[in-house]
Amino acid sequence: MVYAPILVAEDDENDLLLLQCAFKRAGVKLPLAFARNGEDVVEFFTSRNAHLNESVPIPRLLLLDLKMPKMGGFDTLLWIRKHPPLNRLVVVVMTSSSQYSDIRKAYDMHANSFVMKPSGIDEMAALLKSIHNYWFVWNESPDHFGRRPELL
Amino acid sequence: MDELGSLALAGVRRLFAEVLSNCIMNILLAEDNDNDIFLLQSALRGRKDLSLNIVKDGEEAIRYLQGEAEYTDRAAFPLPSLLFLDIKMPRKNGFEVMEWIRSQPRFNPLPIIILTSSQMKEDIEKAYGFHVNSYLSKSSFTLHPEGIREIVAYWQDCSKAPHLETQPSET
Repeated sequence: MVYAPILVAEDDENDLLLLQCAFKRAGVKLPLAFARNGEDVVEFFTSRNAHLNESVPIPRLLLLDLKMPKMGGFDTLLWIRKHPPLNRLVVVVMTSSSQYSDIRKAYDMHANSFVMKPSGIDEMAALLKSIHNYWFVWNESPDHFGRRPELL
Repeated sequence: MDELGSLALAGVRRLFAEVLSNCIMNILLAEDNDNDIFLLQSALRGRKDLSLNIVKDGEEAIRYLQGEAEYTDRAAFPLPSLLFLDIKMPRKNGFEVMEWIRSQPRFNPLPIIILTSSQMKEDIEKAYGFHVNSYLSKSSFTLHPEGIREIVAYWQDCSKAPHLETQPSET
């Protein structure tokens, strides 16, 4: 299992493709992990046989789409913040809706940052470059290497 | 008609002021070190798209946010959309300020960026435990004018800030 510093939670096929291309264009070469909805994210962090064990650290950044089937972004964020050490995980909420209430709600639920999803590849690449630069170069990440969430 | 005209004019003025204030990013810096204050001020000097207000200890930071004492004038001391917070400060330290902010429903969504000389693991963990949005350690890179401008640019251009209510909501 390869350590992926960035976990991307996105259900939309087109957006997923756009993100993958934009990461390449932005020159971000870190391995990425993908989840298709909130349940996938939970599975990612709790699965016994796959993504997380003592030797594979949890990602340093979660790019979280808000509108996803089964378990949406807000429910996922709520779950994450309830399960240490994920309460310290850096979560950047990404959405195409610029509803004011969504921005406030995301910060109320302790998202670290809220970004608007651009539709063009160049804009997306520029955004991902900024996100990568800020959270991997400037920001000091919390230390939760190799720790499993303390599940209830 | 005159009355109507002046009412309309007042409305337009209010709208204009609102639009203008939405274009300006209000940053609050809680920092007791004059040197670091100077570095931030000079890196952001002359910028029309942001305003920088400074408080020098934890109690002052809380007074500013509450609009109390010397900070009642919201035009001069607007609610910030971003708080740069030092940890080691007199009166109330950064941790006490974070704890207070996150306990206030009105200020809970305020993005807090820790800017400190401490790189101690315990401080980083503790700060994230209080749900700070980001933790930056002071260095020749972060306090370099280019560094400061790049960090501010992320929060101004990439990340959207929540709008804080000017008045405490009635509950």
